[in-house]
Amino acid sequence: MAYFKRKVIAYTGLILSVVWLIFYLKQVDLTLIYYWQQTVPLSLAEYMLVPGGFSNLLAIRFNEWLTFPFRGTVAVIFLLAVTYWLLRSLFTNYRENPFYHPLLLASMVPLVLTLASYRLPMGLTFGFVTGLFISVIHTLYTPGNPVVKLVYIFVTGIITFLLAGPVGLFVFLQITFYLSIRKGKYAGLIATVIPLLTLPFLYLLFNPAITAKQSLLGTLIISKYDEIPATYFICLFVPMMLMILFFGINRLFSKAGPNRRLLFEGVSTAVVLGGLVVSSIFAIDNEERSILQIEQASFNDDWQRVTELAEANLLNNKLVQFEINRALYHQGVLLEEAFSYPQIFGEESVFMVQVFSGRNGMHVSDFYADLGFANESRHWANESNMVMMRHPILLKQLILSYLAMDMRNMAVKYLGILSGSKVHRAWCVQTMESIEENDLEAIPFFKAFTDNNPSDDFFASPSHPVQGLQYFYTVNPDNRAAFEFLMTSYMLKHQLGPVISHIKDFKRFGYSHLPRVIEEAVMIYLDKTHSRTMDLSGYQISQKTTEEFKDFSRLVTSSKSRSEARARVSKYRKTYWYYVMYASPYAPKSK
Amino acid sequence: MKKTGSNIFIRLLPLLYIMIACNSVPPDPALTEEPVKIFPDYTAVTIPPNIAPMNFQIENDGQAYMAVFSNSKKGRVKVESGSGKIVIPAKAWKKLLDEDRSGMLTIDIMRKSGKGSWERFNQIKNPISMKEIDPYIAYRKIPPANIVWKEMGIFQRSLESFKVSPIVTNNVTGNNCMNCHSFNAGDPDQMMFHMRASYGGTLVKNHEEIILVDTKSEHTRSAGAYPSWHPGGNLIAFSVNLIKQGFHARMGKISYVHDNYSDIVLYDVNDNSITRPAALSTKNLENLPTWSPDGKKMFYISAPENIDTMPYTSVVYSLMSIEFNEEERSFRKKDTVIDSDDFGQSITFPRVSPGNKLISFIGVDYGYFSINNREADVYLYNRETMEIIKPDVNSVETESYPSWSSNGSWLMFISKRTDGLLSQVWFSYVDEKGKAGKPFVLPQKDPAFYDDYLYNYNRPEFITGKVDISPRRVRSLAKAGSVASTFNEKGSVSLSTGATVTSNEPESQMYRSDE
Repeated sequence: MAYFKRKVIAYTGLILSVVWLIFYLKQVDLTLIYYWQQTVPLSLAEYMLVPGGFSNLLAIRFNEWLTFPFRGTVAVIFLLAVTYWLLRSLFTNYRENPFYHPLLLASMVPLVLTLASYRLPMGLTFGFVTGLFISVIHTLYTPGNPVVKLVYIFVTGIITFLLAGPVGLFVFLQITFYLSIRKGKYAGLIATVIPLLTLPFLYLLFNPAITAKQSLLGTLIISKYDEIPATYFICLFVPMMLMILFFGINRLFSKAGPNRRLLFEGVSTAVVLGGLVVSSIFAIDNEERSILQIEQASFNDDWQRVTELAEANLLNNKLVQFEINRALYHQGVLLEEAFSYPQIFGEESVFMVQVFSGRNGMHVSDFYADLGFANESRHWANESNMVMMRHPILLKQLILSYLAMDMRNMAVKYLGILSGSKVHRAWCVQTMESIEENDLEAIPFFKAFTDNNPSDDFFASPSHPVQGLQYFYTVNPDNRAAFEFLMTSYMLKHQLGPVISHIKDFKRFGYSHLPRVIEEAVMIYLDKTHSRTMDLSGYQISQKTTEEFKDFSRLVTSSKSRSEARARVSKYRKTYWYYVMYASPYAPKSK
Repeated sequence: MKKTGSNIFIRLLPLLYIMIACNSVPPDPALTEEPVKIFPDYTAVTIPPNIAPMNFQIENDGQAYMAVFSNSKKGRVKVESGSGKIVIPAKAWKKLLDEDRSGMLTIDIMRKSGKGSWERFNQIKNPISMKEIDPYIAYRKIPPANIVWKEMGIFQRSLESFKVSPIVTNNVTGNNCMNCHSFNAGDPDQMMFHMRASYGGTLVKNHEEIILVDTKSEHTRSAGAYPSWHPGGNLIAFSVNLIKQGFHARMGKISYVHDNYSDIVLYDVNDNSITRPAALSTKNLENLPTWSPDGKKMFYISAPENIDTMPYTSVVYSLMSIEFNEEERSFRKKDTVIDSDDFGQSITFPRVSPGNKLISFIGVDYGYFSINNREADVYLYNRETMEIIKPDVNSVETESYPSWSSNGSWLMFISKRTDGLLSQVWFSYVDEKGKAGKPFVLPQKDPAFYDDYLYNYNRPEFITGKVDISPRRVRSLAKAGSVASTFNEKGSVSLSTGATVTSNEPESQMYRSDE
């Protein structure tokens, strides 16, 4: 009866965990893991050349499931279920009685929490799980002969190291260590553990192109863009901790009666569940999630979502501001709403100036695609590709720009590579069909790239992007995107003269009235030049803008200090005037 | 009747016969008019007797394929394939070529058409040269970026097999930049390469001695850049350059690299010193030095002084020579070998053949950094007849960086002809008369290798043996730090001329690490 009751507690704990998981994973937004870690895999043979490469390949394929929220949730729950089952099998094989379920449940908590770390390479998680899997298989057979047993352990260690990397080997080491201790075979401990520890160093003999540290740590050495949270390191020690705790708790309760054990299990299960719920709530970094969602939305051309997600606490992030500016342009309100946001980075959030970051290069490439500036879009995609080779977003950017340049062989080459990703295969097939049917205008950006190819060549310098945009606009005077971003960058840098000189271009582009921000810039210009009127190519400044500017000026001039003035004009914080006076990196420091 | 095993076999026998008959090639299949298409194109090329198997993919449609390789000594290798991928057994290939040097390799390709019948294509005939090709090449493997770098390395590839091994990879040296590897006449025991950013310096391997040196000083505007070993093995000529890079806005062009200033200096390998000779440190842009095989002459390119207001397309280089006395370490008697005005193009990457008769170079519309110029082509200059030949090895895409095997029979260069972006290594046999044959691309184990290889083969150099240095060894040397080169005042020009003009000029702006 007590056994049955314990089973009920165990299964209840599991079911409640799964229910919470479904809710939690929805909050996490698993698609962001794919977004951050997406890549097109190489062949299996290539991955087998590197310890842990096999686990990386599994992770890459697994991540493709995460592009769909429901499928991703099912896939993750399946992965967690497999891990749970592997841990359970490990202890069932060694008949750890009484079997203490809450511990198993608790051991899954760190792994669950790692799912909120979008930048934790999934390959590391799979290295852990693969190591566990091999360890469980290993425990199914125990040779009697001690020499055969040592060889068996060593060979398993080699397989684990190759397939799961140093992470998997570490898991296997813990289990081997525990089994030796458990059976009291302390002498055998040295004979089994020491050879396993030498494996990363033995690998150096086969690979002269890595250091000892790189061989020892393997895929734990991550790029500067990724991150390993503390919870992952706790995961790595889970097998050992479980073993110790199981052993300890079993000894503690071996003399306790069944009802007492039942009570303890019930309370423990409730505590573990509570801990899971509380810790998982805090595990999600809302700011990071929002930033990644903004990036993801921008690459999906979901501009409305970009502006919806933009909250005040995110706007001290240059990339976020950069994407907001792009979103405003795509929604046709850049010159109306640009200064509804603080714009604390000035013109750097239009160009991401001095970009030498492989990750940022993707965004810059897209920005130049907005402009129809093929060569610069290709240029930045190539720079990014140096760092993030085989990234699907970059491959798409490269395919589109090489098609526009009539370098079809190169475009087809990249298409062939991108089609290795199941997520993008349909797009590749469609694009290939367009190429074969010579229907290139059906391909996004193709027309924009060819129409905006500068008639006169010039040099675009990463150090002077405004100048590059000026030249680009000069040779493409009908390019509305170039015009709007150029005006925005002038205003961000307080360069009102060029803005005023381009007023006539608003007429040419068919603006029925001057955008709000331009009106506000004109008011400042008139004030600075002590003019009452000027030729606005037939446009009139709205009465509302005129009166608000008067009010703004009055409030500023009548304030005793800069801080007082700033407070008094806070209602105008979404105007260009406020930007110039207070929010801009070029704002005056004194009143 | 009881069915026995033998009864079943007898019943299956006709089926088995039909199956075998369907897949066996008839002795004399019909000749098809359809031209055979193989990739890479290894048709009608003169091949070295020691080259790795030249595997290829048959691109003509078919259900099954067979390729039969034979030589004039009745050697024969047959390869069957269902997909058209022809992978030749290495040992059999090697025997086939080795036993018939100066003979002929014939390739008979047959396919099973959609109708089920076998047919053959026109026979391919490839002469087998007597002249071996050098057993290795060294090259830098780098993706096609212009500013940012991350992973790169210098590798060596056996030309007699498919083995590739790293000489140095930047994952062990803090992801720094490494470039300009160079060897003394292909000798793997005398090599050098540069590293920039972390562990910056020039690694010089001089037989058993390996040292990391810092060739930059206040007397030379930059550290040594483009190198060339003097055949005597005691000196390396370096250019010192202030390099700038601009990115074309118009489609069709990528970047333009040019020098604001450049001179040529001499580095003494034995005493780690630099000399800046007056003859090669003028206001002109002296660059890309290369030595004659006897070491008595240096060839280099030179353009008039760069002025900011000049259009970039007006910077054109001529090919120069200057006599050199190694004992005295002196230069004299400068000569214009090829004037760019007469030639009509800018000249770059000159290399003298080991026989001293030919100079290979690249002709390009302007500048010297020709890798991004589609019109860049290989040329050969005959020093005896003073004739410039444009060999039939070029394509509509970029060709660059020609160099010679140690026996002078094989010309190697890079070409972007496959896709217009990525450089691959090509070889051409050059006979005693200086005529270059149809080129062929570096063979790979998988014929589909180039379909998804996304790296450039940069600066390929022939080497006569394997370089005995490993990335970890380079790292341990680099960690010890570089030794500053001394400046040899005697024999050097004063600071008022040449590349060292002001101390305010910004550094060369080429590559930056991913920040």
